Amino acid sequence: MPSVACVGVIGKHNNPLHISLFPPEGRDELEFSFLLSSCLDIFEMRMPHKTADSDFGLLQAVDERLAMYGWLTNTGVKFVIVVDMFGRTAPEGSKMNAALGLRDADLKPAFRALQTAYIGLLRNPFYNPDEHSPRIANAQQRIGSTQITSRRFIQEVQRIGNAWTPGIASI
Amino acid sequence: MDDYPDSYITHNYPLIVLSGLGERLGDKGQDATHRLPHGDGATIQSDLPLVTGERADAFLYDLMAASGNLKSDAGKVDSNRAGLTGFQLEAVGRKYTLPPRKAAPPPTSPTMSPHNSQSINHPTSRALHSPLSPLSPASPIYPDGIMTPLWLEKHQYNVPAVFVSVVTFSSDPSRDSLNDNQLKNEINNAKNVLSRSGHRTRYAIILMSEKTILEAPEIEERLAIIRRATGLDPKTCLFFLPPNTSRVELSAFSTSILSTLQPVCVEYYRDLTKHARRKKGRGAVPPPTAPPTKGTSQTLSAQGWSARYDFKGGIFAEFRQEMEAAGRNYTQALETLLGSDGIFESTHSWSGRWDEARLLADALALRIIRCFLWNSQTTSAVQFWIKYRDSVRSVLDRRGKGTATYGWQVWMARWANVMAETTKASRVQSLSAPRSRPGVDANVTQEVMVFAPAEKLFPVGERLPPWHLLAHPGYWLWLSARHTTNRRKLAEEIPEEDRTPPGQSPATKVANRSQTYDYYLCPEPHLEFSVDHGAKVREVLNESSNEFVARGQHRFASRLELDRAKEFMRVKKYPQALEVLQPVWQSMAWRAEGWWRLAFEVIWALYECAIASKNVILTVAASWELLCSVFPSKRSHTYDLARCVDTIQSGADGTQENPVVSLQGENVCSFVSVSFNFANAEGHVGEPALTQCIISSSAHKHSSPVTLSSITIQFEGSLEQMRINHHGLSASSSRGNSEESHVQHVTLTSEIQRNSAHILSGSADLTLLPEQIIILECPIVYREAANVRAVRATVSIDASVFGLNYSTPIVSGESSEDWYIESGNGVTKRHLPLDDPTAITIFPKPPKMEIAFPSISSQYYIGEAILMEIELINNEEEEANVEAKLVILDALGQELSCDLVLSSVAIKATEQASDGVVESEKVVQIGQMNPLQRQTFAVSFTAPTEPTSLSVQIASTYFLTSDPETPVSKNFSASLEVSNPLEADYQVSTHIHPEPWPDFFSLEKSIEQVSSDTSSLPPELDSGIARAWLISARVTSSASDDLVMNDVALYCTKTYNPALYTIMARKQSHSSRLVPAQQHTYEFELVVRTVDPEERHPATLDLGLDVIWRRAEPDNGVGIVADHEASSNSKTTKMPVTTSLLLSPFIITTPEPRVVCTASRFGDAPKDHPVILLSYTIENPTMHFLTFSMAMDASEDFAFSGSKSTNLNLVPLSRHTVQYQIMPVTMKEDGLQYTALRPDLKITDVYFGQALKVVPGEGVSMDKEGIFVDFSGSADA
Repeated sequence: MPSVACVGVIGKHNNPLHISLFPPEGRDELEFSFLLSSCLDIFEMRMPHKTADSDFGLLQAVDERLAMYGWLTNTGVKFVIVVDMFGRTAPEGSKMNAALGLRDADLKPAFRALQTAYIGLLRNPFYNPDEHSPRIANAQQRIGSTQITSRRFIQEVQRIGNAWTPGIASI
Repeated sequence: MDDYPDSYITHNYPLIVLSGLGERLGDKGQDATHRLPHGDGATIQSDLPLVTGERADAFLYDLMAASGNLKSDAGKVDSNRAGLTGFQLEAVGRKYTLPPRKAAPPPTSPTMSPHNSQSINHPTSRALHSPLSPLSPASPIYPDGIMTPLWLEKHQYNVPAVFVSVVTFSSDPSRDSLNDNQLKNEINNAKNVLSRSGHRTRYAIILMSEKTILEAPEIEERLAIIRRATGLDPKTCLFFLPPNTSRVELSAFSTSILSTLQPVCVEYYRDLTKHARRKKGRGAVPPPTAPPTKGTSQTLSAQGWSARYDFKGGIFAEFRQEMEAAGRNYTQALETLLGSDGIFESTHSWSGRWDEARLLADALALRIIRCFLWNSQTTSAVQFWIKYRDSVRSVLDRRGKGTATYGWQVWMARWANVMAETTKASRVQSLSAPRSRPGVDANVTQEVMVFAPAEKLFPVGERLPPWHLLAHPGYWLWLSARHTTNRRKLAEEIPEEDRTPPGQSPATKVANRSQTYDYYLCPEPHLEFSVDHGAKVREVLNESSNEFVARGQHRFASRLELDRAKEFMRVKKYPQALEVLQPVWQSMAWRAEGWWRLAFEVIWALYECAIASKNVILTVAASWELLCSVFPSKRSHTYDLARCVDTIQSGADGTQENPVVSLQGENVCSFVSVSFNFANAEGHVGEPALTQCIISSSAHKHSSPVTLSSITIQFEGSLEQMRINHHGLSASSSRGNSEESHVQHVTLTSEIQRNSAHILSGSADLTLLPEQIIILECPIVYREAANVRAVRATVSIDASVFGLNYSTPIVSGESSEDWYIESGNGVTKRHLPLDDPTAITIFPKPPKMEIAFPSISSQYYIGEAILMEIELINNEEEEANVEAKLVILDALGQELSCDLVLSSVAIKATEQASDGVVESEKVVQIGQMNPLQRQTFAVSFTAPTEPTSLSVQIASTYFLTSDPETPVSKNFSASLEVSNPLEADYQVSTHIHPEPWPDFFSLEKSIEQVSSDTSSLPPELDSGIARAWLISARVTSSASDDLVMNDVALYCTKTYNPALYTIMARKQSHSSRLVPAQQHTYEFELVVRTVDPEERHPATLDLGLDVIWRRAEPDNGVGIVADHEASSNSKTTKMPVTTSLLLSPFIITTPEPRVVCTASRFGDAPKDHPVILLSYTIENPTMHFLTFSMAMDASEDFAFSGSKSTNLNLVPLSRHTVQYQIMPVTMKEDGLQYTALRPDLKITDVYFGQALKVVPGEGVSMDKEGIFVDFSGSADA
């Protein structure tokens, strides 16, 4: 049955802020980086036609297993969830069928939880979103990662990624 | 998809054969003719000449175009061809041979059977079947094949639905009947041949007339005759093309012919469908022409026949463009094939039929997908794609050679490719790539989709696997490429013994191979091994990335291009890889967006390719980027920029010029960053503007130091450029090995280059260690005023074998606005509090002439004569030729006249009248002034008489001896407040004028005597009464300085009634000092004399006070300078100034009877018992005789002597004085304190009954309670 394979948080300037893999050891980070970055093409493509809704729904499916769903916050931060359609075996006696599909709404709880986690991160006075913008970092000649390092946020993303299942009401 | 037979997978259009318009046979059609089994096909032959000429060519072209034959876009209705579905149009000559309807009987058969045998079940003859039927021994699928592509070719290219003849219809009355007869014969002949052939091909004829019906009216009749003779339907079989038609008309005619023929074609294929369906419905398999050899071969099963007929039905439906019906037939056929007792279950996988069946199944599946897409059932198409793949997989796993073979990957790659190609060909509306169509605004283009939404069959919100939404062909091609990659992996795993050609291997192994490997549409193992998989992958990736680029998915495309380049690198085709990589490297979004890991992949690949293909420029560029520590560092890589091309340059000779690499900061990542700041936002020409240039490195920690050869800063707003070169002095000695940076002070020298560009150059140590910064502090002296901004920095590296210029714009960012200060323990930085420290405003050279007013006073007073000193000090470093202009303006901007007081000989003054205007400027020629010399001159003027503020303005202009052309001006102004230093008011007390009043009873003489004694009054005044007042004028100083009062005079400015007055100063005090806010009282006696005693009107006097004063000399000398200044001051300000102060008007009342009380000390009285003499003077200035009663009230305070009560009679114009002596009795024991005495004399006019008020005179005061004698004052006096 479907499970989250990767959660990507992408900044306003299309810069990667955070990438979580599920399970971390079983996935190639480079490959998923490529996939996440290619989702930006679709964000850009749809942006001019998009209404106020932040749910971008299905962005693309690259094969039968991996499909990417997108969410855009009003600050321009993007969340991408890569779903592995055969990510885990369905528990015994589950009504869910392995071949069952997904609808865009199935991802909404996960995105909402991610947004809540991100808002929680922003409320941290020690987190300055500007520090994570590559333009400013470039201008400041600061070297190093613009990735989010908050342990709490990362743990929350991990929790969301692991907790999500199709049809879950809230995470 | 190319692996499939063409006819299996192309869409089918009705075939129309066009005879008589020249040959234009498609290649496929020709090939098909050759491939079909030979036999005696019916031949339509005509002796009529070909229709030729321009018109015929145009007509043929139009027909071809209208049929869609000229276009290759089979598979979708083109909206341009109104209602036409498309045709396969073959133009042939006058001879056309149809393929044989029935196979020739086997040669062994002695039976003669005419080939036009209509009855299939002729009892006497052998059953003859189509040459392609599995029942005919000559057929390639005899005896148990289901279908061959040849059958499709036959129907698509050889057996037309309609046979159209085109003939010329000439109009020549002499030959008309002959021609018509020939034509009739031709038509009948053709129709006969067609009907004899067994095919149901329709016949039609197009007559291209040479004359119109109007020109030759007999044509109509001729046509009718031909029609009757040939039985052609005039609507569908006979077409008449009049001459002289335009191109447009010709084209419309072509379209109309085709649209007329379309239903005929549909009908033709429907007939064929019916025939196939009838055969299917027959249930039994007809007997073969020759029974197969017993035991060795089997016949086609019933399922096989069923599938064959369903396939045929589907194809015919496709010919009719009825895609839904076609889809149904295909699905049925495929189900039969894959069914539990289908052909796959009953055939061995090593059999040729197995592969044939797979081919047919693939073709069916492909056609089913095409039918889905034709109807925009995208999701169904994907679902079918998956379903079919799963079916094939299951068949292969169960019956075939499994899916672990490279053959399976080949098939999967092909199957994904099929989806891509079919999608592309079908042009699903939502998935078509945006095209720039002319006339369509690019901004209003529709949203590009990467996948098609689910079709309406699926309710909104239903859960669908995301992949079931049809993605655009790019994704499918990528999938195909991945399968090809897997195929290569499997191919590489082919064991060594399987790689030898079958001829050189033991037979057992070859046999074994055929058990292991799946050869379906792919090479055998010994060939597979040498297949260039990479080329296939690259081709598909390229196709895929084009799809992504067409939809604006550049990041995805970049990734595919990177994969493609890696494929090239895999086979060591580095130059080709470089060609692919370079555009990706230049345009990738990952660098700008901070996807460092991805950008690194590209840059590293570029680096490897550049090294391998010995491309110095790209090697250097990639090495430069790789040094940046945002990228992961490779342990094995040596990070040394200067030596990065050593490996590829080792063989090169040094004669060539070193290549120069140019990098732009906007396009590459750089470990070097440059910021440039001015210390101040403003500067002046000629003054050094301090700047700091900071070069920082973010290179990998373990990388080698980089020595920059120079850094150039370009400025905007000024022509200047700054270049700092590496001076090459030993780095270690000046900077030590410490990580600490320090500020290098650079001296810049000016250079003019060949192209007359102005360059400032300097030198410093430019060795940049990783993670270190170089701070260059250099003052720049600007020669002209401008707004200067540092815009670009260029860092140059001059390595032994290459040069590098890295140019980056200078931007002002938050943290680049730092200023580094060297302190005791290293370098600290502070934030520059400037808006934009990369810019500076250079102002013109500031004047250094100083102008001062050394003697300026804080306060000036009205009417004062002011002498003001002006001092000029030359603070310039050289001699200056100075002149100064001076003007004094008052508050209204009016010029005040003044005089120059020149102290020095060197100074000359001129007065310039500017353009004849009244205004004139005082110009002082000061002349040469040495550095630090002072020159002083003064100006004197009189302050205005009204309080105001003055402005003294000095404009000095001077020329420096070094630069006599440029005037430098310095202006200075001071404002002077002119105020009134004094204020005055006065009090009035009544006095009794001692002069006797005129007496009616006196002699003239005595009056004369008196008048001559007192004053020189004119005689006419003698008759008047003189009255006196004491005026006490109080002068208050509001000045801030001490003043000395020289004189004070009271005067009258105006009288309002004829009256005479005299003012006499009394108690005149001498020059007294008045300190600020102090008050001085001056007393004056005012005597007013009326001209006529009868004159009784009140009079008014406007009084003024003239005060003559001067500034007091300071009491204490502060020092020599102060004394000096004071003495110079004294010249002017110590001169007495007369200030006129206006007092309020004094009103002289009408003369009325009055009593004036005066008091004086009785001189003889002892001191401790003073006696006061009180005098009450009663005046009667009226012309009446008045009687007054007087009563003195007794008091406890004093004793008095005089009449207690009496009456007094006064004649007109007379006065009388009553005197009392008063001795106070109240005396306090302790201190001789006497209170004021309040004598109360009541005087009443007896006649009028009116009490007279006692007016206090000399020595008497008055308050609310009445008059009183201040005893204490009297005591002192």
